[in-house]
Amino acid sequence: MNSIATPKIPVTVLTGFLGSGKTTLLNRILTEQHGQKIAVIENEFGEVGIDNDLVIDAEEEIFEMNNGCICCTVRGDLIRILGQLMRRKDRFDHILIETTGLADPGPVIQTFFVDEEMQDHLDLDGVVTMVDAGHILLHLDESSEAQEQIAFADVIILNKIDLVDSAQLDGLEKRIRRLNAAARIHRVENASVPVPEVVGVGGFDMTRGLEIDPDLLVPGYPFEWLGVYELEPGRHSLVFDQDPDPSVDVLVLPVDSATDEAVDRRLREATIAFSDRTEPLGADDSIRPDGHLASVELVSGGTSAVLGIEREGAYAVFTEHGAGELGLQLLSADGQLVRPAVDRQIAPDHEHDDTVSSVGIEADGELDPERLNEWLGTLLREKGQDIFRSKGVLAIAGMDERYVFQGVHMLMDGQSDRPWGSDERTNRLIFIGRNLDRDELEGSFNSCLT
Amino acid sequence: MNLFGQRRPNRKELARVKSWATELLDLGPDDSLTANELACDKPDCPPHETVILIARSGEATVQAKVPKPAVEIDRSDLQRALEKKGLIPQ
Repeated sequence: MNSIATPKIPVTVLTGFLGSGKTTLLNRILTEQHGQKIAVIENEFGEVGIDNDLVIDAEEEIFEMNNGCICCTVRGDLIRILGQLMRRKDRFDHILIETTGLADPGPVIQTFFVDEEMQDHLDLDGVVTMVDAGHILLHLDESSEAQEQIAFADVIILNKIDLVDSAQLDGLEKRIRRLNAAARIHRVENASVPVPEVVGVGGFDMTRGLEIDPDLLVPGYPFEWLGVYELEPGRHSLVFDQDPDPSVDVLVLPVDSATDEAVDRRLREATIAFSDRTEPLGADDSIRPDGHLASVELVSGGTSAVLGIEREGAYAVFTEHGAGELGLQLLSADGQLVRPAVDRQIAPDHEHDDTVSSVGIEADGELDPERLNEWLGTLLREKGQDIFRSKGVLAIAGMDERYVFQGVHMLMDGQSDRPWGSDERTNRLIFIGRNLDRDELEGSFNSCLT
Repeated sequence: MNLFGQRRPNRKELARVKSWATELLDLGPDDSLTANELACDKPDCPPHETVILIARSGEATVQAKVPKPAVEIDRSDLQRALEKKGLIPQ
C-alpha cells in the first residue's frame, strides 16, 4: 500500500439471505454497461458460480480482535484479499463484497476500521441488503441474522415485489422501517435496481445528512395511533372490532385542517390530555372533541361508541392502541365508512416481537463535551455488542462546527464537519441495534445537554 | 474511547510498526498486515494497546498485541510481542 494521495476505491458490502436475489444482482452488475469496473469478492459458497476474472472467491474467516473492553470481530480473509487487491488497484474502480446468506455483516464492516492505512486506500461506501419480499417475514420471525442484515443496511432492496400485493408490501416496508429507520428502501422486481443505487451510496460518508424516518424521532407518546377525519355534524360511531384490553383510552381534538402539519400542532396537547385521569364512557355518553380523555369499555364481539360532532371540520382521533390492533373504523351518522385523511401509527404494533430496532433522538441545544464523551464511551463499551450502527450530527458547546460521528458496534469515528452558520444548533442521532431501550438512551443523552 | 480529545494514532507511527513487523516476520507480497490502536479506560486494561493482525497467504489470521500506543513502541517491544505469540523464534 503506498501514498495517501491516490484516489480511494469505494467498497460496497452486499448482504441478503439465500434466494433474495444477490446473485442476479451481481450478474447484472458484472454484465451491464455502467461504465465502472467492479471487482467482486464472493463467498466461497456462492449461490451460482459467476465466471469473471474480476471475481475473487473468499473463504469466510472470522477473527476476534480484542483487548479488555473493545471487542471487534473482523474477517481475516478480507484483510488478505483487500491487501492483495490494493496492489493491482489500477484494474478496477469499485469493490463489491458479497457475504454469505446467513452472515452477520458486522465483521465485514469492522475489517475496514482496523487499519488506518487501509482507510487511506479504501472507502467503505455502504451496506446494501437484498430482501426477498415473498419470504422475508418468515426469515424475520425465525432468524436474528435477517434482522441484523436489515439493521446494518444503508440501502435495502425490497426484491421480488411481484410476489406480494401492495398492502402486504406496505406492511413489510413499515416493519423494515422500524428495524432500520435510516436506510433507503427500493422496491424492485427481478433485482432490477439501477446500479448507481447499489454502488456509490455514501452510507459511511459522515458529511452527508443524517436521514432518519421522522416517525422514529417521535418521543414516547402515550398514544399509539392517530387519525384525522373530515366530519359533518352528527352522531358518528367509533367501532372497535377487537378487544386487546378490557378498555381503551380515546381522545378527540378539533384540528385546523386534515393535514399532518395541523395534527402535529396538537400533539403536545394530546400528550398532556393522556396524562389526565380518564373518564369512563357511560352507555348513554358520547365521545366529544373537548380534550377530555374517554375510556371506552371493549367487549368481545365488537364495541361501538358514539362520537358527537357539533360543527363541520377536521378532527383528530388519538387511541391508546394501534387502529389495526383495535380493528377501529369510523362510521358516519348515516352508517358510511369514513376513511382518515391522516393515518399515523405512533408506536410499533405489538404484533411483532423484533428485538432489533432503531432509536432516533432529536434534541435542540448544546452538549457538554465531557459528559457526552463519558456517555458515548460507556454506552459503546457496555452496549456496543448490541449496537450495530450509530450515526449522529451533534452541536457541541464551544464548537462552531457540526460534529459528525459514525459507529459500528464498539468502533466509532467522529470529526468536525462544516460550520453551523445560521442553522439552528440541534442534535440528531440514531442507534440501530438489539434490545435498545429508547427511554434510557434518550434520558442519558439528554443529561449531556448543557 | 475519547471522542473529543481523541488521540489519533499517527499513521507514520503505525506504518513504522508495520514495517518492523513485515521485516521481523519476513512477510511476502501476498501476506497482509493491519495495525490499530485500541483505547480503553477500564482500570484492568492498558489505556492504549496496539493490535496487529497478521494475515499470511493460506494461513489463519493471528493477532499480536503491545500494551502501548504506537508512538511509544520500539522494535524490541514488537519483537517480544511476536516472540510471545510464537510467531518468530526467541
